[in-house]
Amino acid sequence: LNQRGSNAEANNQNKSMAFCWYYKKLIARCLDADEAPSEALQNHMRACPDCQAFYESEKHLTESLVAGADLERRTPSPFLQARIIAALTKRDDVPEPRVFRFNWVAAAFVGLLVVGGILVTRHLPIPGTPSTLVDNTTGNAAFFSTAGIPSGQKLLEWSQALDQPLETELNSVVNDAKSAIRLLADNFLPEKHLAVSLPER
Amino acid sequence: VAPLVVPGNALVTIVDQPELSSEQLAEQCKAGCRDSFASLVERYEKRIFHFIHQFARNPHDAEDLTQETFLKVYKGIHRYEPGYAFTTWLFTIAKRVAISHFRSSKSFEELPEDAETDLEDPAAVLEKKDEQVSLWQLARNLKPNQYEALWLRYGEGFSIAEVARIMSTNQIHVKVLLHRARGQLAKSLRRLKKTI
Repeated sequence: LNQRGSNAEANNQNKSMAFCWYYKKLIARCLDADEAPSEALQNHMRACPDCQAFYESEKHLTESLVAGADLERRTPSPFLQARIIAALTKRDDVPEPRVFRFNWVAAAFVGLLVVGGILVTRHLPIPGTPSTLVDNTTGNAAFFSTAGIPSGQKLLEWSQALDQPLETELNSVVNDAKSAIRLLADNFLPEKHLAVSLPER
Repeated sequence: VAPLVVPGNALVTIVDQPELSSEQLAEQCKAGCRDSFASLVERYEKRIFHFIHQFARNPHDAEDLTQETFLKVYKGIHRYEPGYAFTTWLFTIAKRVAISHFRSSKSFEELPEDAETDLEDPAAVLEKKDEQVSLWQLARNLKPNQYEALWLRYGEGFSIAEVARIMSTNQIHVKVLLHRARGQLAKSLRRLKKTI
């Protein structure tokens, strides 16, 4: 019974050792986070001298690194601080290129152009609009004549002359379609269907 | 109160205000208080110098880069978010300044992840320093990113999350770096003990 008991204990210990890589990761995680080892980890370390030694060695190493950091720290020249402040003062004395302000000026110029454009186009006549609008342009006749732009009345006349009645437009489209169909029928339809299908010319 | 005379007859009074946190000083600096910035310089100048010195290995370059770091901090103080620790922000800027400087001058090369450094013989280190070997001197033989993680964690006392932020990486990578660094150090120490 004693031997069986010791065998079981040895098996448990072996199982525990098989997970050492996992417990070592937990140890590293604890040290990284400055945390105390968990209950499970402590239990394992009590049973596993290897992990216990690993923990002690890692802990000692990190403590030594923290303690030795001050000795390692290098000191700059005692004038460095003054140099930094002087550089700051010097930088303030020299004006920086005004790229930022130039951008604002450009943006303001573009804005003015847009507003000007809107104001001008508002007074231009739209073809087919009532004559009241056209009449409004007469006040700007001097401006249009100096700028070489035709007056509103003139533009209206031009647009009416160019604009054909809708019926004429439709008739011409229908006629074009008819002639296209006739052309296709003449060339591709058999004669027996031709008499039936052909529309009157 | 320590009046500091700087070239150009400018006099800046550095009053270290221990009752104010660095974050509060940064807020005051944001509002235009030059003295608060001077206090921040006084507080962190040595730490930043040492941190940069790891990359520079040359005190003159390290001083220049420390100065550049603080000028960048002053210029970009309006971008500092009070929710974050000021030190983390400051060290992040210092790291960027150092890396951009050494990349442009092509004298700084980060080792690839799996590259092994040639560890200096611990016995030789021992001889060099008349038996005054510190662990940090052994740590200098580690890969640069391992040393950096080790220094930020144990030298500067930053948390893993803060180290990750400064090194522009994730927390798992920092933990891996620390684990490898500690393992490498333990190995060096064992070799050293055997030599002794």
